[in-house]
Amino acid sequence: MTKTSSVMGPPPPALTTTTEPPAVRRALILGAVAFVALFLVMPLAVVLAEAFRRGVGAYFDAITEPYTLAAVGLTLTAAAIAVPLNVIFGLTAAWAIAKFEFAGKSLLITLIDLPFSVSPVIAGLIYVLMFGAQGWVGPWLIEHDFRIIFALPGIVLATVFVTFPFVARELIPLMQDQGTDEEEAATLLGASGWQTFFRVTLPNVKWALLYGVLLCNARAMGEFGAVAVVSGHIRGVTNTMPLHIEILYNEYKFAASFAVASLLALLALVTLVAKILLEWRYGDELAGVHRMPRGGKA
Amino acid sequence: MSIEVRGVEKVFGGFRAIDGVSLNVQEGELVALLGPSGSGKTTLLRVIAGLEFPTAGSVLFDGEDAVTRHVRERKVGFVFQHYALFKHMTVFNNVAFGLRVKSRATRPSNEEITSKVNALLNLVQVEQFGNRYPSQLSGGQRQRVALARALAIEPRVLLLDEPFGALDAKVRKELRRWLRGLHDRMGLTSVFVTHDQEEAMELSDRVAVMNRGRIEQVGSPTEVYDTPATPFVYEFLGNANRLPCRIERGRAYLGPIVFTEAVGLADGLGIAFVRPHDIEVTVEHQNLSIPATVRQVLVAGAVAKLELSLDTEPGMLEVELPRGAHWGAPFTAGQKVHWRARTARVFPANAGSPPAAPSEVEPATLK
Repeated sequence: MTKTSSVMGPPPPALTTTTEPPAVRRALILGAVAFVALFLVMPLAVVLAEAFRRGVGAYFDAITEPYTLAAVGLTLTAAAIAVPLNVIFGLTAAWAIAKFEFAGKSLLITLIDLPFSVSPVIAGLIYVLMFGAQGWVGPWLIEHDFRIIFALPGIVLATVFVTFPFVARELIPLMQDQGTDEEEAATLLGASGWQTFFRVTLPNVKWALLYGVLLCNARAMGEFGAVAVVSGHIRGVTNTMPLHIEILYNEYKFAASFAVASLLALLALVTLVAKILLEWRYGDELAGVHRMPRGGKA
Repeated sequence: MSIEVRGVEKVFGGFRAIDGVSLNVQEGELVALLGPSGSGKTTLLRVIAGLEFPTAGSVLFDGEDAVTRHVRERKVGFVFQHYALFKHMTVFNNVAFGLRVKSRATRPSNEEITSKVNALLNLVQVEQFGNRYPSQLSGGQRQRVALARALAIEPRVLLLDEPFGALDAKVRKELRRWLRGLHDRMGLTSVFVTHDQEEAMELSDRVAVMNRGRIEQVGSPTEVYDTPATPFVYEFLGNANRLPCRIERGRAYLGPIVFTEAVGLADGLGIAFVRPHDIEVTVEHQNLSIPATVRQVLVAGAVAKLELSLDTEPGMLEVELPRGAHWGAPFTAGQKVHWRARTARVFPANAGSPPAAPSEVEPATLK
């Protein structure tokens, strides 16, 4: 548009009806950039600056300290259990909701959203009330020497609860939109249920699934409230990274606290980079899928 | 492979989508299920395929009950209205899918799959697009890929749901002829769903006209067009003028015109259906012709359409003249003319259900 008009002669005052005047455009871009800088880039920079305040040596001392390593290990373990579980739960829930009609479907959708609407602290408290020493099944568990609260199972449970909606929420709208035509076609061609799932359904939702997993993972590693309630803050045993950061901060070990925080931020960045790499690697295919006009309405 | 549908009913919630349908399709036949939106034709096709379970009745393939068989084992080739191609797979992999999911014992070798898929891509004339994704093909090409994919499993019957619905008029015509040729060459038994009467007439051996979950008439295209069994069939298969008449002793009286086509009908009020192209219009009064006034003249392609208002009674008459006939001495609006019907079909005034309004848009499936 712009090119043609500049060749044709002096450009008209308004290029197209959808283009704002340059001043407005610049102001909007500036505003967006300023916002991102103030609320995203600056805090990250502060975390890094504070972490390295006492020098590189102190930074590596802080992150190689045994309690820190234990916290990193626990966080990764909890995420490594919670994320696959929620991938399975999310896929089954989304599959059921998108591809079948059944009574109580809207109730199920509401239940999936429950962890988003309930405060994480309450989520943690639920497990304490159930499995704690004074809880419903707590005494029985203590008798059989099986610890849930103040132990890894509790942390995993709380993490699973809090991160439950991410995968399902990402998949449901997409799967509903895609309908069941392709699955029906696969079945008519002789594919079994599993073949249909692995060769047709899963490839069709893999990008949404990946986004869901990344979001779920980020939240699983960063979860504070629910885990804080069930963990008991036993250093080296039930302390996850976010809890460890808080403890260090409360003990005025600011540099160490920020060092661990930078590590946590780094983990988040790793998932983001992984996502960008995958998008770049499979960009063509992704674009191909998106270009496909949606079946339904002709 | 013959198909027999026996007293099939399908109820969704409280809605009777199919209300007791029986239909026989002979081996090698190409049958059209023709009807307006919501007449149950797509549901019937899905019942035959095994995608829907009939509430009552049975479907027999070669005399053997197919309802007890899983969809996967029916060996039915099905082409969806919107093709339902696997969008994350190349054209080649789409067509190969049905062969690759076979159990190890029956699965052909990779070389066999490759040569078979290439042969099919050749057959449907998309051999150069094997490496493309469905999104990179035109509608007509996607349609043909969907057909190749369905044929890969060597189906015993081929079912097509509105196979040309999403294509433009020209591609539609080409594909129609091509499909007819393919059906004959491969000796398939095929059933296809359409709401386009021209498509049904041109393509099929027999047409089953459906309305409100029932089959109103089954017959060859000429049979259903020339001797429609019900007013619905008459009106659905083409434009129709409804003219009230009087039936007396097997004859229908419309002004001075007497139709002998009312044999066997009870005396009383009747409706004479007259196709617009079965009406003669002259300037001069002729034997048994009725006066009328030309209201409007439209020349559309090969035909000239006249709208006449009757002088004797209220209502309008649609007339289609071959363009040539109109050309020599064109009629003009306001002109006084005379008309008479060459032939008509008479039904008692209260016959059959009122036809559901035919509509162009068809929902993908009735749910």
